[in-house]
Amino acid sequence: MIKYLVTSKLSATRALDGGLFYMLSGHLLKLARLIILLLLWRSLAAQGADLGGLSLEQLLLYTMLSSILTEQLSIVTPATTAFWEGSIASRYLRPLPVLAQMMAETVGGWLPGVLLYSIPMVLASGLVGISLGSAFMANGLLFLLSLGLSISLGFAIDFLFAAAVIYVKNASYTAYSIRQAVTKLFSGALIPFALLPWGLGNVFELLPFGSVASAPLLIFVGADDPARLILLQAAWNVVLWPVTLIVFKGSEERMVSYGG
Amino acid sequence: MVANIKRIFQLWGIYAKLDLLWFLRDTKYCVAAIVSDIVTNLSALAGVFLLAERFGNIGGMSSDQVLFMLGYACVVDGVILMFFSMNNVAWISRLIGRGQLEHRVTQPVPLWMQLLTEGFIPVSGNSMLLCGLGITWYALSRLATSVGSLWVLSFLFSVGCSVAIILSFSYIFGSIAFYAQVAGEEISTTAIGLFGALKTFPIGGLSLAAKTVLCTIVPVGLAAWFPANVLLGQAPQSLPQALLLIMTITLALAAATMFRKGMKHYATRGSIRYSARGHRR
Repeated sequence: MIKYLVTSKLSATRALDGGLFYMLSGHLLKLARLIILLLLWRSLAAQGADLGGLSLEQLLLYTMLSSILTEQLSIVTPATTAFWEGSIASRYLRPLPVLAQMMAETVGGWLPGVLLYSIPMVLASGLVGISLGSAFMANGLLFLLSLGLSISLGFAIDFLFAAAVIYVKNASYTAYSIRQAVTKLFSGALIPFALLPWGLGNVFELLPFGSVASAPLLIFVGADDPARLILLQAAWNVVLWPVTLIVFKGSEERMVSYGG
Repeated sequence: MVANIKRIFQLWGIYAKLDLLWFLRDTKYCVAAIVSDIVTNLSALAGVFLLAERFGNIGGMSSDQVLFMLGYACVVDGVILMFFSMNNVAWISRLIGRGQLEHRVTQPVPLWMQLLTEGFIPVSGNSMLLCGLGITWYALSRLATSVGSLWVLSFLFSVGCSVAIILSFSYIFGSIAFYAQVAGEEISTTAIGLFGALKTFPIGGLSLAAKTVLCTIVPVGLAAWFPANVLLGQAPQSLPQALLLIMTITLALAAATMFRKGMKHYATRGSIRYSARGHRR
């Protein structure tokens, strides 16, 4: 376990290499988007719009938590970048399983974001009338269970995409861009499924992407049946992890990394 | 003046030829990049479009008007992609922070002309512009807006202003990289990302203070929402109609000043990013 913690620590401190300014810019972007969304939801509620069964409080809570947990609800491991940069080769020389290394690196990489964005936003949420504490008291345990399943599923999906990237070789950044764009829409992290038209939300929530972001957020705000959502998350974990491991193992034989 | 214009078109021709050669010699990856641009862009627009469909009216805009605004935003992104994306011309902090201005100041072409022309990729970078024009045309066909030659000129002028605002914003913040090459290397990505993340939201329902901030200090509203409303004949009453032009001139002047100042600093300090063996630090 210590070796994974050391990997995480290295990853966490590496994020500081570019300086505080380098790190803060991404968080400022998240903050700007959060403010716009909160204002938009408030204006929709003020014009009397039907929020798909969610109360305004639940919607604000959902959006706030989604922003706080951006990195955890949209897992991006160093896998794709490592193929692109050629640094994947060095990971095979280390005395740790490659996928486990990348998971440890990812978790370590969250630390600056947690310190610079997530914790300040938790503290600031009360100032804008969003009570994270009472929601956590009511649904905290189930939420944590769901978040664990979500993170696990996020890793499986990321490694599956990474395996696909091995097949497309030079187009790895292209594949990465498509994946980021599609998962953002299908996961419900940005716009809750309840606000989508034509019953699209009912379809999206059954997809694995929905189990990654929408499920834990809905459980936290108390807007859906936790047992059904957690079972669905568990089922996707059971299905996707073996597929991921088999596909990744198979794609390793095709791995070509030039560096760049 | 005439010689400069002639040279600009010659350079555009050269870069167009290079882009066409990429398409012909590496068609599979070129098509993959084009498809990626389309999917990424449509996904970014889809969220707001679906919200507009669901609620019928957001921030004083009907779903068709929102669609027009999204088409406009797509055209603006398309122009940036086609004219300023190759070699990170729009993401200027990358060039500065990576020490890549050195390559350019030794060329027998003025720096401004290089930056104006070297990002041109009319073959691999036309997808977003075509998508945007298609969405705009479809939205207009569903709206009662009368489209004459004057309206088309207004549209082109507004798109030009929105593009100039985004690029100016990128260059203003990107100039920080002259002073902090490593820390500031990706600052233009964040500056442009701000527009990418926020410009498609119909902000008409927000308070006057919020709208004013989003159309001046953080001018994401000028990249699509404000000009789209003006073009649709429903200019936001609380803001002056000439705001787009005023902000374009202000930001362009600020960007030019910041960049020149940064270049003076660069001329005395240079770049430390490359070692003698050519490796980036």
